[in-house]
Amino acid sequence: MYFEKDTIIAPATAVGVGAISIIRLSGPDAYTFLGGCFTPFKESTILSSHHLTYGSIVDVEGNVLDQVMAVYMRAPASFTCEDVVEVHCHANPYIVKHILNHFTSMGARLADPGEFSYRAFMNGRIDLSEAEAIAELIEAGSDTSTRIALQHLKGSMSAMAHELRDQLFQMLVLVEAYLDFPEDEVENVHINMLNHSVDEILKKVQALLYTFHTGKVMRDGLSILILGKPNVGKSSLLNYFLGHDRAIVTEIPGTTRDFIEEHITLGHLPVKLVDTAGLRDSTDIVEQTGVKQALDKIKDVDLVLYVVDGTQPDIPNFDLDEVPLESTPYILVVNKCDKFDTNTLGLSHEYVCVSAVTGDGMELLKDAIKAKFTVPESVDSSVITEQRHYDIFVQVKDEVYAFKAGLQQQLPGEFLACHLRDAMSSLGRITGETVPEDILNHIFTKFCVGK
Amino acid sequence: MSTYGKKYDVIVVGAGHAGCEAALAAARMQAKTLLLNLNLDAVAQMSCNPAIGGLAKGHLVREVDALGGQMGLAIDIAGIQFRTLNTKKGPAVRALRAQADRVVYSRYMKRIVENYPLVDLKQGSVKELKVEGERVCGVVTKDGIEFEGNAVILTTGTFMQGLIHVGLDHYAGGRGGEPPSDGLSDQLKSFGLQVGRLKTGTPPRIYSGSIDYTKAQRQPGDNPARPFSFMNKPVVRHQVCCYITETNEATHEAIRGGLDRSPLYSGVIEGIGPRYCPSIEDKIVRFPEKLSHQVFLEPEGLDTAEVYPNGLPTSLPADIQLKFLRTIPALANVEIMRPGYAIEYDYVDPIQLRNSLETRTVSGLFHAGQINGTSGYEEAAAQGLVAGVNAVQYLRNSEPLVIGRDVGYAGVLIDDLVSLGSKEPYRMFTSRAEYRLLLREDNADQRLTPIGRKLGLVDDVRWRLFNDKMEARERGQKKLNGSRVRPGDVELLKQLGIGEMKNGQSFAELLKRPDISIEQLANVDGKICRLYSQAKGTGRAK
Repeated sequence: MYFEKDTIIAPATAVGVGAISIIRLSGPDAYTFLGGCFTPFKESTILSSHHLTYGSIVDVEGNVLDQVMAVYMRAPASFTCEDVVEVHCHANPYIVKHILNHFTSMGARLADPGEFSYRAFMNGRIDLSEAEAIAELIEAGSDTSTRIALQHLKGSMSAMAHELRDQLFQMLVLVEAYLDFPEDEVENVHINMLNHSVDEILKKVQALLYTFHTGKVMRDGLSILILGKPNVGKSSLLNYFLGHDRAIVTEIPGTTRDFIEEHITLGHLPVKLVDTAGLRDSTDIVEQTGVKQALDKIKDVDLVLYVVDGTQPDIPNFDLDEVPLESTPYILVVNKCDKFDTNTLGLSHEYVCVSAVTGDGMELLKDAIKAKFTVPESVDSSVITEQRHYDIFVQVKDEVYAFKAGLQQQLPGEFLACHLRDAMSSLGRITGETVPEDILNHIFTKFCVGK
Repeated sequence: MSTYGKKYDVIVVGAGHAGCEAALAAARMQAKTLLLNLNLDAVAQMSCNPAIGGLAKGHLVREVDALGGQMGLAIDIAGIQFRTLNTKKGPAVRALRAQADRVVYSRYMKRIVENYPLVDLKQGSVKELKVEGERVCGVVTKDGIEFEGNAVILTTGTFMQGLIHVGLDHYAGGRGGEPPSDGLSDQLKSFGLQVGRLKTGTPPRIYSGSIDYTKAQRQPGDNPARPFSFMNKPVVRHQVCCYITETNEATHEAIRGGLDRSPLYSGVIEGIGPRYCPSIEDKIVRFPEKLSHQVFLEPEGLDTAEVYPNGLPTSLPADIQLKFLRTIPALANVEIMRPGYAIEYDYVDPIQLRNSLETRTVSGLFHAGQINGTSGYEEAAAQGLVAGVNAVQYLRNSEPLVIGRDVGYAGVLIDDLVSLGSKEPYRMFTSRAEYRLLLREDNADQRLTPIGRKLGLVDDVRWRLFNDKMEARERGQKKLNGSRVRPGDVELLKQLGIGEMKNGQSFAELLKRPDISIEQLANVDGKICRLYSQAKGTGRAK
């Protein structure tokens, strides 16, 4: 981008229908241009800097383009440090267009993307980090949970949303063409092609939904809860993962009363480990609270490492059903394998034998954890990371299923169209809205209809 | 400047489908109304297709009718073939279409407007609006007659700066055989209104006696014919047949041979044409892979030998028109009676209108029909009626009639026009209505007649019939809610085709099943049968 000293113009507000649009000019001629087409309603009014004035924008032929509020900000007391003019007009895209055209016909140049911030930066109004902050702020407004690390993922997710939208759109075009033209113009065969497309879409949506858990893990990390009775070696396990003594380890049952959170990396996986108080009935109120907290956490984590002491004589009778794991995935970890014969362990569950003291079996445990979460090392397929997107795709899936069911029941097309329209309007929160005119345009391109 | 010395409330310029409805609606609301037309022998002309209705358009006719309008009654009288389209699809997208006897239609409508109390039908070509400040106050005709009126509705159709093209020849005209209206659109521009250019076309009219119908496929009407108007009953009536034939490779070859003399492809025509009603040359250029296009041979009336070959609008030179027509076996010896033509005309982008159809720039000036960039008699009639109502509301300083998008296609139409504008001739489609499932032809009366009654558009007879229907409907609903089928009613279940039932259900609940229809329930219950036919109108005494 070259730093030119001409006068630029652009809408400062989003294009579309709303109450008010702001058109902004910056540069040496901004004031002259405004004077050339702005007539204040009170004839005596003089445009004073930083004051809004009510009047109308009039073109060369004397036509009123709109009634507006205009403000002039004299350099350098403006965002760009140049003369800046803002015209607040009615947010009709046509009005905005006419006003823009009028100013460009006087010599203003349409600004390049980011050119106002660029000028503010070049003229020393803002520094680079502020410029970035502006960009970030604008970004955050459109998608609050954007994270730089996930930019490429999000890009591909939105590409996927567009792809799905296009497929749904093609289907809707078939249905609408069938509805909007009599039988002798658009034949039913077109609608029969839908069955194939619908399965393809469902497959894609399912695959996408499936990535949500993985996606969330990649964003937030995998959280693992270490659970078990007192003194089975939970804290030793945590310390081993960390590679240093974080938790106090003693022979005394109930040493850990609070829970301890620590972050490690397991292969490519960020992991949050949570050590908890041992599960037992205790009269100690602090310990009781710790136990309750530990149990409450089960539903929030991605994986439970349930630790048992392999040296205990009642191991063969161990029953995991006593632990309220609900639907959280778990791995049964038999600790202290350095102190017993692993071959004689009569456990009916699947388990991993480790020694948190010698480190035996720890690699196996890590593999078992990784195996629970297949995370692609480099992500080139689409991944959903956000609840909002997940919800949207669930809605899409539900509507497409309903559409499929309707097809099978041979429901009339106008009911089928409702499901497609709803699915598209859900996707529209990612891809932008589809208006009836788009559908008609496509029908006319695709079908030779009309008498 | 001479004057007839009478002052009007509402002046309607143009007595086409929009203008007639506008004048009648205003008069029904007790406004002294003047209806001006260029030529009094051409009131409510069907300039193009001799048919009313069709998908989404039939809906509009029903809505005009539900608001006390004339179009439905007119086509019920002038119709010579009635068909319900989309019968294989759901109720919301089914629509009625009828072939009309153009002359009967026009004569009927003229008789209605010229005899309507408070309407004066007069001949005159308006060349200028009279404006005081920013308010309209009358019109001046080419003959130098001045009419005073506090609201003016412009329904200029294709007449403003009309330019007719046949091949590379063109001449000023508002419609085949009629002069254009000059000057008016320049004045509108001077008010600051943006005036654009649109184009539409019509096929040649051919001589019935020269058609070999044995080489075409018959398309009969439905009997009994379902009427458009709520006021009429289905009747068995004499109906004519339409015929279907098609173009072939030789036709397309002949058309391609004339493209160098096509005003459309040589850049002579600047106006934008409707894509849903493309000329035959356009279809052949844009869809070269399509080897054949359907042609519907539609009689223009009972008492005329002119036939309208639907599907063949063209602005090719007349010799090419004849050449390509004769490649179609059924038309091998065809005679053209009037050549097809394209017409360019001025329109005013309706984005400059309020949702009452009043222009934003001139108070009391309303636009309806093709001047708003729409196409179709039905679209015109719906706008005309609303403009007529709102001109009166304007004079009374009352809230304008704004029909919701969930209440009628008329509402969808006007909302689309005033909020999106039109860049090509706008035609109604069901897909434009996001509340399509609510906007059926058969419930137009329920949606709109109460509104029409409040405005004074609906007369006592219609209102009584409407209330009778609503009462029957309510009784029917009560009956459906009160009647139950139990798992033990084996015989009844069998009659309804229901295999097994775990819990008893009311008839109303049964109706929610996609495979149970009201007709089935009417078959098994005499009372429901009676109430149903009463509510549907088939049992209506008249």
